[in-house]
Amino acid sequence: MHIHSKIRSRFRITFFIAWLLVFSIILYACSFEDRVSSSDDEAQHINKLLICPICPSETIDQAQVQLAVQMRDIVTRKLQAGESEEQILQFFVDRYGESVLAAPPKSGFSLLVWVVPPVGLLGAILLLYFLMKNMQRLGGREDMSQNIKTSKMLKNQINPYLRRVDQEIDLLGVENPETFHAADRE
Amino acid sequence: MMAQLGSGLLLFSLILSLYAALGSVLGAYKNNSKLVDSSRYATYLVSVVIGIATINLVWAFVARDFSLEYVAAHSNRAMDHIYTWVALYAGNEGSLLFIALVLSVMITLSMALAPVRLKEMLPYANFVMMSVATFFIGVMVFLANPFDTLPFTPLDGQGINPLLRHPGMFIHPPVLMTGLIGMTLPFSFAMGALISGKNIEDWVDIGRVWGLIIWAMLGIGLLLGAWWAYTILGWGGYWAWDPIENAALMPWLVLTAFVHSAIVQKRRGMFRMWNVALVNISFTLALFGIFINRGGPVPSVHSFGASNLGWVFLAFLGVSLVFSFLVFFLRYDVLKGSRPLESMLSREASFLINNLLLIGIAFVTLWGVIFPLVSELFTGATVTVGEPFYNQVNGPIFVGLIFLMGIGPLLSWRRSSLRTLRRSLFIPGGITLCLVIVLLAFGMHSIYPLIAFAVCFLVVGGIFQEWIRGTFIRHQRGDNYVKAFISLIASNRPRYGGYIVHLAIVVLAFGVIGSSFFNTQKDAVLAPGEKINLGKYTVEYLGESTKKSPDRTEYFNTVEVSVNDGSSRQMTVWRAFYPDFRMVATRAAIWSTPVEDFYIVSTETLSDGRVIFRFLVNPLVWWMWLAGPIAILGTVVALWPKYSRPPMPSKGRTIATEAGI
Repeated sequence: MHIHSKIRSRFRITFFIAWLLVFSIILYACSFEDRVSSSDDEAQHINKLLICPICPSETIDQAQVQLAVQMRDIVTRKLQAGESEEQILQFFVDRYGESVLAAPPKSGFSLLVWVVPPVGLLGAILLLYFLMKNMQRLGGREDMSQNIKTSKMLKNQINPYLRRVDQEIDLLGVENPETFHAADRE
Repeated sequence: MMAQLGSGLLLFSLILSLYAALGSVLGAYKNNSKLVDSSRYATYLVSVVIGIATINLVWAFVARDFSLEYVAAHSNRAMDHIYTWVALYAGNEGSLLFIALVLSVMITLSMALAPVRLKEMLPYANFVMMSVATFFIGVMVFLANPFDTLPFTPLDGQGINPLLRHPGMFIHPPVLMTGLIGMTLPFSFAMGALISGKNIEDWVDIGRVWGLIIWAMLGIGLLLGAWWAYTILGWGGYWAWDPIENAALMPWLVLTAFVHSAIVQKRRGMFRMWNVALVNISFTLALFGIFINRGGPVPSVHSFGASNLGWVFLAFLGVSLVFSFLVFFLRYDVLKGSRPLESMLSREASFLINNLLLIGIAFVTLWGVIFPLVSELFTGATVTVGEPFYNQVNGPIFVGLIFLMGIGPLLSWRRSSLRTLRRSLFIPGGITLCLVIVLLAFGMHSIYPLIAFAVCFLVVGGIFQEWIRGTFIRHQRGDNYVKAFISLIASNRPRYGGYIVHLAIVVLAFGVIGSSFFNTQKDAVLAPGEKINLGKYTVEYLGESTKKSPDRTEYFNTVEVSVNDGSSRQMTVWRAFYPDFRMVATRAAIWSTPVEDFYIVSTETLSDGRVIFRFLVNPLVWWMWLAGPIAILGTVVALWPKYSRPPMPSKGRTIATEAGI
């Protein structure tokens, strides 16, 4: 029994190291730049950030009207002239106002639109956590200790039967795949 | 004549539905079963009368009766009769009639098919449903009558919007409208159960069945909308987080939460209050969607149904909110006292988190839709909240949701242990790891798509592990593999149907990830005979042919596409100019394979004969459209009625779980 657990813990350590290795390889590989960005990609990226002022809620990348075509042209030309993304976006904001941006900037009042969702979701997760803790406290405690005792005592005697029961149930159509393992549970 | 008949029918149906609504609530309150019965028959009759009115309008279209304002505005003599179906709901008035028709038919079906044990709450549910129907019919009769006549009869109508002439338009709008208005049903059953104080546990059964039907409809409607946008709007995308798209997505998400948490109430008697809240939210969001669509305050490309009736729908939304809050608080006591949660690591808990994430996405989306108004109110500055916002904020939540889809089904009810979870995750996790390494080896180095793909693999691995294991066990008992698999699925249809739907969602996610992270796009102007290179594709523009019709000029641009593996094909891009509408409609030519779509669209022919093309390579989009049929299959499997199921299994299960845990 003792030797068995030693082997098992050694296996666990190896397993853990293997996982660590694999993950570091993945992270290392991901740090490479994926694609050489061509100017076309860059232009398209910017086109997707600008709304066509005369067609409701379509970006200049999507819209087919003349104005959108001209704006796409301007973007391409400005990129060739060596202007940065910020400069180009600012150029259009100066002309058409902030609503030309497909998403509001992460500053000023518009920061709210970005901040509210993650904060709200985090708050909701915390709230749910405490609610669940509370729901848990309401019941289900008393039979837990009993369960552990029973399972320890009966484990060896009852396991083969449970396994049998589980298989029978599975054939009849179980709602719960876990019962398949009922016998192996701690 | 036809106009008077139609208007008369609508008025008649209004009176009938008002009677049905009031009669059923009064009858139930006074215990007058005759009144309740007669109200139910009135309900049935409403759908018949609205049906006749609809046939009447269809007949007006077929007969080219341009004395009707609606017919004149949405058809003309050149229109093919097959588009009558589309023209029927192409405008505000007609789509209201369509909504009233599907609503009344669904109410009739749900009332007629409802099990007897619900008879205590049904009259109240009927009251709520018929109140909604009365509202819609009332709006038609008093504010937007499809049978309004013109003072003079024009010689020809204006014709149908060219963008609507697409096969997707035969199904997308009606299915979507059905899905949105269908939210009335689960909502009404919950309200009915609450008002009557009876069937508090049972309403989720019927609520879930109708919820699933509506869920599938709305989902298919959304997917068909995406397909329509992809093939016809000519920018190569399928989803733009447009306010109207969002308006249909939000109730769908909340309904998704409901069809999950309804299972918890069914199985474990928990989440009663929560389920009522969910159907309330989804109904409210559906009304909000209809409000946005009918002249809401936000601009959108979906202006087909636009009208100045927004305020009416907003007012109705307010009334329904007040009503449902009132019922909720007055009946708070019957909802209380559900069973406690036993463990944080259990199916129940995972359903709760799933609900949280789904509602999270819905509210992020709602926040994005209303933020421009908030901003204008407080700072006076107009802003646009578009795709980049939703992609950045909702994207990660979706990934979390799919991850949960892989974990949740592996947890057991009541209480699970980390050890069993680890055991059931071992194989899917291993497969995922291998596949991620394969992706890395193929040179995919960006972290977001890798995470997203990994999560998808995990879910698929988990589902197939379950299927394969179950099939093997049955096979050991002597069934052949096919029979073993089928009997496995049949053994618990809701569960395995759910798995099929999960698979559909993953397949959809697959397409979304592939096309949003790895697409390439190129705009080019080509003269006949000119060639252009796009990765492994070479495109040669061959030439243009045109065809003139009374209402449009069509352009066909033919290109020869060859791939560097030797295969090639000719593709023709279609584009038409409609002078009456001053509108250009395009239809992309798409070479679709499971690996990637080669997508071409032409926007303009220049005076010197050169054509402006847009070329796209969209990986994995093919899989997105596959998700639709899979999801339908899964829903059908989950909903397929079970006739006789021996009580043995559930008994056996209880014994095993009680002894084993």
